[in-house]
Amino acid sequence: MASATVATSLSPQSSASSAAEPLLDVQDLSVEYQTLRGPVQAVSHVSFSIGQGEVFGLAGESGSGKSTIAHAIMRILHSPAVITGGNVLFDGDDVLEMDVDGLEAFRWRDVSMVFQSAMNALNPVLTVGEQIADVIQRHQPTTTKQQAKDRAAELLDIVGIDRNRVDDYPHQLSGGMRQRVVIAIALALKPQLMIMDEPTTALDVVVQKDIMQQIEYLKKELGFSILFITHDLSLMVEFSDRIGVMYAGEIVETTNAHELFNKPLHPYTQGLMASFPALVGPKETLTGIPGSPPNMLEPPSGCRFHPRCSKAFAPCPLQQPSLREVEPGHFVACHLY
Amino acid sequence: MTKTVLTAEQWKLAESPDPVVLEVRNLTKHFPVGGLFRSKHVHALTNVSFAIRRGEVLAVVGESGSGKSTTARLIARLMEPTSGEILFRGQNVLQTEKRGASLSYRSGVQMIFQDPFGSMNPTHSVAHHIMRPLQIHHKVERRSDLLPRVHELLATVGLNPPADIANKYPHELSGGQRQRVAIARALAVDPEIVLADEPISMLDVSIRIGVLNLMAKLKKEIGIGYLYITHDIASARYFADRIMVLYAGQMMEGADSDELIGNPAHPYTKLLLSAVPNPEIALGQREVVARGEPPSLIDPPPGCPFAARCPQVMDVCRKVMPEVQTIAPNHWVRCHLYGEGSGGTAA
Repeated sequence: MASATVATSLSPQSSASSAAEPLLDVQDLSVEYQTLRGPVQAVSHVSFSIGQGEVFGLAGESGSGKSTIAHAIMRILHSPAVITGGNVLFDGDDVLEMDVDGLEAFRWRDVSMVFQSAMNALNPVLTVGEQIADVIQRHQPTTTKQQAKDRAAELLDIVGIDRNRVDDYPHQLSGGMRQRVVIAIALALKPQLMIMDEPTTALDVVVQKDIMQQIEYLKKELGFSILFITHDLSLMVEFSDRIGVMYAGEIVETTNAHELFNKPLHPYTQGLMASFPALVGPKETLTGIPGSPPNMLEPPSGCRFHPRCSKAFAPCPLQQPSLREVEPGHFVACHLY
Repeated sequence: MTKTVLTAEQWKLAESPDPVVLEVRNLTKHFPVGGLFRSKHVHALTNVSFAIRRGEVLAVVGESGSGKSTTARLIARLMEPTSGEILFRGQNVLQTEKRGASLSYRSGVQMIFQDPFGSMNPTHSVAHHIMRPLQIHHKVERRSDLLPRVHELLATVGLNPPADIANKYPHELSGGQRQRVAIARALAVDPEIVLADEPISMLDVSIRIGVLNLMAKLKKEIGIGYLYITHDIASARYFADRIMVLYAGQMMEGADSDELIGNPAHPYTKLLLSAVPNPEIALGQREVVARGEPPSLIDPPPGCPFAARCPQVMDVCRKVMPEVQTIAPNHWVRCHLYGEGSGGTAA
């Protein structure tokens, strides 16, 4: 595949992209899980936008609310999860206001999603071609069976699988190939935005790199935007234009990828950066972050990170810091700034 | 079949004052598969040899299916190897303990598993999990010493206050805390070698380093040696003294950690290193070293298993598995590009 030769003239679209109309605009989104032991505020007042052709990364640990945001955007949250506030604007339309028909058109045609370990979500008794064709025929009822199958073969080709494998069953493909099939399904209706929730977490690094290069190539060819979700900060910095770092349901820092990597401001982001051993450079003793992520049934008062923060001072347990622009395009929610 | 014994001398183990605690020679595991006659075999591990000194960390890195976990499970004697030797304190335990590992072997070689959620019994308290090995291995003289020892072990692994933690049940602990309990449980029997199979890969990123640092502290203070199984080569560099690379059940390359990462010799090691995410090099600027995925392990053809993907493949690679070549102090590789009579250009 040509992905090997993709040039990277990708300039980070920092604040420039937000000047134009964003493709996806998430405003003040809050989601609550209503559990028997009380409400859990999984996502609190999260706002971000994604421009045309942009890759926005949501980084954070398990339980930080990343996947909940993705599910809320797709409107596939189930009880006990409830969206308690905010707007999700896609191309100006509020997704949270859409009726069933509107959602049907919105899902997959406008926005598609690659789930975490989605390679295990393929139906074992249908060929991969049938599964891709199914999506096409469901959303474009006028397509004939043969047309859908041809398009499925073409899509396999696009994601780097031999098109003759269109009649293979999922068990005949390796994990990496199954994940490529899932990406082909997500591409089937040429969506403008693709949500990728840990798309390569279950895969080996070599396969991961192959698939990420393929996605980068396809993104340039087809021009879609990506909401990229992962806990792997190195991969995220490498792949995203802008990044939002989440902790306990809130975005605590957001800026372009290079700025975040070179100059993280929030103590949590700094701690995350100090949690990944480097492959090159001097060997340093890393500290990680003491403690563990909070129990969301009883989140800490004030700044939710303060019990683990080495720089916490008087206002931190009392007052919740808001996200403020401390440098052009660099937003941080921390009392230090 | 080519017999490759990587002797302790090839990694200059003799120079160190610390004794070799665990050595394996030509460890091989084939699993029968297929139809009625079980005539086919998965070659999960083929002729793997290495040694671990007291207080030393050997990392085994590789992709899924490379034989990393099989290595740990064979040494833990959770299954029997097809052939090969396991020497613990110089004794070939497969010969002397034919009916399964003795209590003394089990107390010398402990294992920590990847999944801290699955390795504990949800109906028992933390204290129970740590008392059991203390009782079975007679590590305390009086019953009244049991609980104080449990508390001591919990404090050693950084679980404070120990008396509170001891009374908790697994579901009340976070993943990182559970993995620390698993480490305390392993420590209870005073092991010399700990087999750590992906001990941090299921933990939250911010607490992984804490667990690795704890393991490093135990190495330094108690002199525990580790076989550290991981797919994350950067964490291997951080924690391990030496790294060995496995591919499709075969040893490919081994060296001191910095040497292996700074001067990788085997094309597969180079591929593995180039695939690690690196924020300083954009994806598209990466040199693509090789593509594809590991081969099937069912009755593999002769030759180097990496030949099908190798960008520098030669005719000989498809016929003969290369021998171990020492190319620098404490650095060996199995590749036809190196050594006498090789057609390659490398040193």
